[in-house]
Amino acid sequence: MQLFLQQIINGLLLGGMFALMSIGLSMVFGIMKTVNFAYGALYMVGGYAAYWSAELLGLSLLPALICAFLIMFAVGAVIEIIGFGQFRGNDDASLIFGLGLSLVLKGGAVLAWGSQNRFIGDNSAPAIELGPFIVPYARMTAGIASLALIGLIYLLIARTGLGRTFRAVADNAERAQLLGIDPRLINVAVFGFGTAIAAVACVLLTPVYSLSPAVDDTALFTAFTVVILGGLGSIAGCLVAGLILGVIYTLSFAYLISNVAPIVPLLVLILTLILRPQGLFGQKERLA
Amino acid sequence: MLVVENVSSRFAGALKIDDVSMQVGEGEFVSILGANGAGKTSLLGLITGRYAPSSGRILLEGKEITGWPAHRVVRAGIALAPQNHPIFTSLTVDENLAVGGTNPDIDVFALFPNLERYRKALAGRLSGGERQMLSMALALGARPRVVVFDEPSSGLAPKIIAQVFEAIRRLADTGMTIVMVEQNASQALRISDRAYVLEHGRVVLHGASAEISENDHVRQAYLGV
Amino acid sequence: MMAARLTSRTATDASPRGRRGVRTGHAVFGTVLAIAALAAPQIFTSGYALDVLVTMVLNAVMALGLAIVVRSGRMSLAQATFGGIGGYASGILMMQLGWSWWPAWFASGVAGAAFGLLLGLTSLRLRGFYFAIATFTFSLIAIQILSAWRDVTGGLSGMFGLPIPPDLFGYDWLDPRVYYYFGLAVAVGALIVCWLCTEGSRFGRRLRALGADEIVAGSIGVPAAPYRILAFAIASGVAGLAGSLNAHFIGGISPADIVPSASVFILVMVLAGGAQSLWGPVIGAIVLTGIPEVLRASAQWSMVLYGVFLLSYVYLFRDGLVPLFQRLAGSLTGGGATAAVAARADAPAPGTVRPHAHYRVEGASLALENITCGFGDYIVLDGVSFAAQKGEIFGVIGPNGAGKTTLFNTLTGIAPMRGGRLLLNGAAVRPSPSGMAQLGVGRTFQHPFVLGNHTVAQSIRVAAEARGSIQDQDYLDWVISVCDLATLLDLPTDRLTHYQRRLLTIAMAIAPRPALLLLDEPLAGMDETETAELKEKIAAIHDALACTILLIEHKIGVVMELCDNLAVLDFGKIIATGEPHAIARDPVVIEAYLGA
Repeated sequence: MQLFLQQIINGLLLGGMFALMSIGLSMVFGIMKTVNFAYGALYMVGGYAAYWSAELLGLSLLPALICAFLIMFAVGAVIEIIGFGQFRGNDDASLIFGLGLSLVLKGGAVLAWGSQNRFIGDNSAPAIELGPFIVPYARMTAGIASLALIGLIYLLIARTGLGRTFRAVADNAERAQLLGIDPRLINVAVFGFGTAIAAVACVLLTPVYSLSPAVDDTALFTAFTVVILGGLGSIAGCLVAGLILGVIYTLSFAYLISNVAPIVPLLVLILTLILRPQGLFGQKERLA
Repeated sequence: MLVVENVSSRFAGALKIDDVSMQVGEGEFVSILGANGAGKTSLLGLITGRYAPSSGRILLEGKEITGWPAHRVVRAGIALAPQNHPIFTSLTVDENLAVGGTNPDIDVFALFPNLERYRKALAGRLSGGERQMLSMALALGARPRVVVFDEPSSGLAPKIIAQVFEAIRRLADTGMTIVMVEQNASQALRISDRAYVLEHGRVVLHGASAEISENDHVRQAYLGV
Repeated sequence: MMAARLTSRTATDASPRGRRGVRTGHAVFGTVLAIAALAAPQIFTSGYALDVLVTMVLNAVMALGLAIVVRSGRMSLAQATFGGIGGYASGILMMQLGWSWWPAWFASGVAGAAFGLLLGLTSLRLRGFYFAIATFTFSLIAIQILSAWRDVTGGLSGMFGLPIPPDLFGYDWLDPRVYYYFGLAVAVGALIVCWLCTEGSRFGRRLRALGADEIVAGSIGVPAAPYRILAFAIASGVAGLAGSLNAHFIGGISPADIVPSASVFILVMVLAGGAQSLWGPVIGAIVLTGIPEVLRASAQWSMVLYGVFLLSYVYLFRDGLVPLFQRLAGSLTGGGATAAVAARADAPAPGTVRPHAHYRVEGASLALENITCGFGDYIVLDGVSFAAQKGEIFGVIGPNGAGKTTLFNTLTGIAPMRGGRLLLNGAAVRPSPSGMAQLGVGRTFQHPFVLGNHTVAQSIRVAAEARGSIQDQDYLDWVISVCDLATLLDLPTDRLTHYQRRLLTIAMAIAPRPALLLLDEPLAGMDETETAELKEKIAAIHDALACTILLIEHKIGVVMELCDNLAVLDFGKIIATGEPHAIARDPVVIEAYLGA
């Protein structure tokens, strides 16, 4: 029983990270109806942005994180302006643009930075004991930070004027434009923000997964699973789906043969697609 | 206030708006009438920045706004409540009203009392008539100098239409400048000050609403008399 | 004679002149490519070069298969996975079950097709991105299962030492040229299959219409799901055969061969070459397999290269390389595809072809009993009942938002029918888009939707194929004449004016000689002359076919003139039915709709 509870806690922490990993993808889809196939690659590049900020400028983790946030915000904004923004309304073109961009970024990352695993800052933190439960320090901080960040993003979307504007554009961009809002500006801001959040997620998860050009596939796939399971564009759905997936993931690794375990989350995704493609929380496009 | 000068526009090669000129004075309530496909909505699209005209000029208070994108036209002072009352269905009524900003000069709940009790409800729950009222309230929230209503009666029950028109008339009485496109010619002529009649993208007739409603051509073509 | 022309067109022809040019172009290009393909192993004789050539040919087969799926309107990210399934299938059958090569190779195609069918059955309802993700997930699951199932598949390290096929006509498969020429033969077969699945057969033409516009295709009787599933199974089967050859050629297969990026590469080949053109996938495979090898690029550089290719595809040549070359060649020789379509001397003048008596159909009677339709809590049609007699023109009028278009959508199975009964010739039918078309119900849409990537002639032809009137060339000549399309036959549909599109949609609706014709606001957006002309045409069509017509229209004058009976719809309910003049005097109707 104690082992089971331990697994649940681990699963929830992992789920928080999954949710954080996915929230950028979810926002971009919810507001702009754009499927970003380069999301995983941008997530990975975001991690490197922090890594090189730390290495080259000698920054510690938090300043490096902020640095990566700003860099990736700019990168995301540029990609929206010259890329996705040009193909809005043409799903096939955005799909292909995303695939192309991810190939360039991933191939480029291996060429430029090599494929070895890296860590940002010190990685030798011990596990800590909470009563009877043992939680690795890195997972603990990453999980808690993820949950806190998701809470902040939720508040931003649900409670602030900017969030209201985001939601209005998501709901009906044409009507919003008729009220004096420039949807293109909002799109650039959202894409930049989504990309920057992906970078933050990557940095927070680096102590768990380490950083290499190969993290893009995991991130892309995990984010798609969470976002589709939760219902595209729903932040609450993103969190719940992330937690569910985290628990499923942890439990299947704990209780199934290690060969079979990796298939379980994939099955969750494909069953969702087949049985309930709008996801758990998918009514119409709601974001908060 | 609003001047449209010799505006023409082509859509997919066809001339949809053909050399249209019109003027709307401050505090005036002008309706634009015409059959389906006469170019009424296209004309509004040109005025509100949805499309750019192929030729001609559009001026608001003497300032040229021809070809500006929609969000700039709104900020310049022309707000549109489009056809079929689009609103933000996933936001509450209060949130809807906050999106475009609030207009201190107009108490929308006095103008549209039906909306008051739904303030905290999702706008997606509203009926067609309430959506139309909310959509007009959204346009007014943008603090326009000229507010434009496109087919406010479209798809609504006769009883609701009467309420909507009454609210528009009350709004006009406060001194707001209004441009309204309507298919329902008789009711539109009853409440507006002046009217333009559009046929095949051209203005065929304009003048005071009372005169227009006495015109033989209009009586035959639009009023079914 | 015009119909004879109708039956002999290919995909890319844009003008009479261009057609002959393209035809010759295809022949010349095919011959050059064939000679080059046959001679290549004699010129590039190094082992390395031969390896590249074999890969190129097998990639071309994979790309040709995937092109069938792309042309049906879906993008799959699992083509390499189906190849891998083929490779594993023949490997397992030969190494563990002792099958011999030919049956095992055949089985690899069957295995690919079977898994394609499975994935198709479960996920072809999904569209666009959702379908792409479903295929992506499928390929990840396949990798996991193949990695985990160690006893059979060899796990992560895969299977190696796959047996070499037995000698072919005395040639030893140890020689890569045998793989090459055999692969070439398979590629020719795949090219033929791919052609049959687009231009070369009724199935193919209808599949292409489905890819162009699902709704329009449904209205001319193309059932979306079975067609796509079949297309997907064929594409996967082709991939299975190619994948098996590849596995035996390399001598092994492992999960690393079917990573998602491998599938993406195949998709790049199809799109970059030109998914809609006959040679596109082949050219894409040659170019994209060749370039990294010529540059001796590492795996990473190839990845970047493919990415750059995709990006430039989106920005620069969204139709693909082959159409790009064709345009370049066209502009060099002056004109080509952009040449204006001149009026043809042999085209009959509009309206001069007289209808024959045998065009007449047995008009269908239609009865609606308490039809309801709604979405969520929102009721759009609330107990609608009326009946249209055989051969009459029955008008449906009502204010905007009354539910008129939803009524048509319910009758044709596009919108869900919640309750009530629909009787066609007295028999209850359950509407589905393609099913209604098969029963002889033709329709047009309020927006004149046409098939993209089709010419006018191709559109009419594929519509006529719905119910066999393609054989009746006189009839099609008349259809073209009555709709004034004779001079526009070779024009791509995206270059038509609004009015011409409207005419084309009507021509497509009547091409299969419908017993019941549903016209949804045919006069919307027409000017006075066009309105008058179109009204005449509708009357002429009704005279010639004697079919029943259901007409939604706002232009009351026209409705009064054309219709025998009217129903007035308001808020999803019928508020009046009867003869036009009675309706015009009905106080309820005046109050709700006519106004004043």
